[in-house]
Amino acid sequence: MTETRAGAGVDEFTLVYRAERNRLRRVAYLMTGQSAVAEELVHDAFVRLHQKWAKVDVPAAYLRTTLVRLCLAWRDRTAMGQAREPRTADRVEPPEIDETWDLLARLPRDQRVALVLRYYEDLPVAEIARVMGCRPATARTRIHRALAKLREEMTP
Amino acid sequence: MSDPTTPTRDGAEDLVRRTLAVRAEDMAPGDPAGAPPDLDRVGPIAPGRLGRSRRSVLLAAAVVVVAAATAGVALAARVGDGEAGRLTTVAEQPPSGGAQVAAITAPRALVDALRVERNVAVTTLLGLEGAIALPVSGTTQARSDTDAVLATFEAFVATSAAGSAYQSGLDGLDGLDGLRRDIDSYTGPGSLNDLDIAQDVSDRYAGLVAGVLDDQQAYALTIDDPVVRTGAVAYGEGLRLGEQTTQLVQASLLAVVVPGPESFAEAARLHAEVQGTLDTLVAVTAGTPFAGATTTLVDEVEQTGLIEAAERAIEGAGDVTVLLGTVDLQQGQGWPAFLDSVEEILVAES
Repeated sequence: MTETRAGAGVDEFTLVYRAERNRLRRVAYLMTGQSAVAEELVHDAFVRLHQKWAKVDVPAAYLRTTLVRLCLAWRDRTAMGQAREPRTADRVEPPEIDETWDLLARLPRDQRVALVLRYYEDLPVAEIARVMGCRPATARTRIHRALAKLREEMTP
Repeated sequence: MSDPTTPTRDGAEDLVRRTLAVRAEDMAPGDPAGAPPDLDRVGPIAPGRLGRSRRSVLLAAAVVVVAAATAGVALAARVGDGEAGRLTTVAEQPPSGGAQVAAITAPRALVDALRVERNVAVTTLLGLEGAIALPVSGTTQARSDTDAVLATFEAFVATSAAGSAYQSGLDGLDGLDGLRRDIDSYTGPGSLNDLDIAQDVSDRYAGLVAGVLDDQQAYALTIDDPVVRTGAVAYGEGLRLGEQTTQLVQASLLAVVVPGPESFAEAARLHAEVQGTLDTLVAVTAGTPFAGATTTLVDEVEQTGLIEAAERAIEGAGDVTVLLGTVDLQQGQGWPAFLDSVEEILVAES
């Protein structure tokens, strides 16, 4: 067993960074499908948090909202979301996972983001609407349409 | 929070959940202790602009950083050096000076193990796993360590006359399984947003620890030999000091972030409690073999600046960075080192 000491002296911003970064990286990756892009967007979100630090009351919520908007904006400017990254060689997954991942990549950006917030972040519809800047009915519709499209295209 | 991998009645929803959970793992974890890149130095925190969730971040820092600093040092020193085996051996012996010392010090390994388990639970719930150094690899190891120490403790209580003093605290530990089940029911990704849950978990572990500490103090007062009794009381106070200092840092941070009569009063109460424990130790051990260890402890606590930082927080002039800096416990210092010293003297006196 290794003797350890805690990182006392860690400032509050660094603590938030350490706590939230990996979760946000995963969220950004699921929304964009690109790990390098996810890294960049998460970095940008933290830079924005840093700039607004004194004004932000809820850092985790600010980061999530900022990241979602960055993801949406990024996909507005590019078509990179359609590209797939090579899989890690040492993992074998059921074929339906790959198929679903491909289908997710082809969804409209707002629908894919809504699905990630609902089924990975486990957010209620009202919170998804707040983060995406739309009405709850719109968020619900995006999720519904995305699921309908997936059901339609899934291999029977 | 619900488990995104839990099957639902809707096949599409189930597939989406599973796919996202699986593919999220494609993002390898970054350096858990990494500093934010390409950012300017974080400026001073403006207390008047901090809201509840900023308070949550600070309390999370207090819960995790303070406890990890203390328990990490302590557990590494105890579990690693055969404490469990020593207790087992003592329990099988007829009552003696050694058995008495074992009864006095018996709760420490268990308390340390529970603190580490608590810290692992809290860091996981807050999404801070890997960000704060802990002496175990994760929940499984933390619980396994606790279970091993608890089994030894139970055997000690069951087979030793002195050990029976801890029956009440042991009964209270029946709640550990339920607490673990509650923790396991939170299966979503950890986040600082889950501070309320983490704080509740932390409080429930603290309650388990408090029961054992109460038994230790009750047992100490039954000891006839005045020197050993003094050592036993000092040992219990030292164990309690670890909890009190954690709570004082938390309350002081709260007084900085949400200044007001209530937060000031709570910080003042805990400040008085820590001061009271130190004063008690000085008074009780004066003129005994334990006086030197107490002097060292008091000096070390003063050197951390905790008392002064807490006073400033109570006066409305606290500093977050200073408060967090007071918990940096060096190996061989603070209450863990004090407990080691007291135990050595007790063994010599017995």
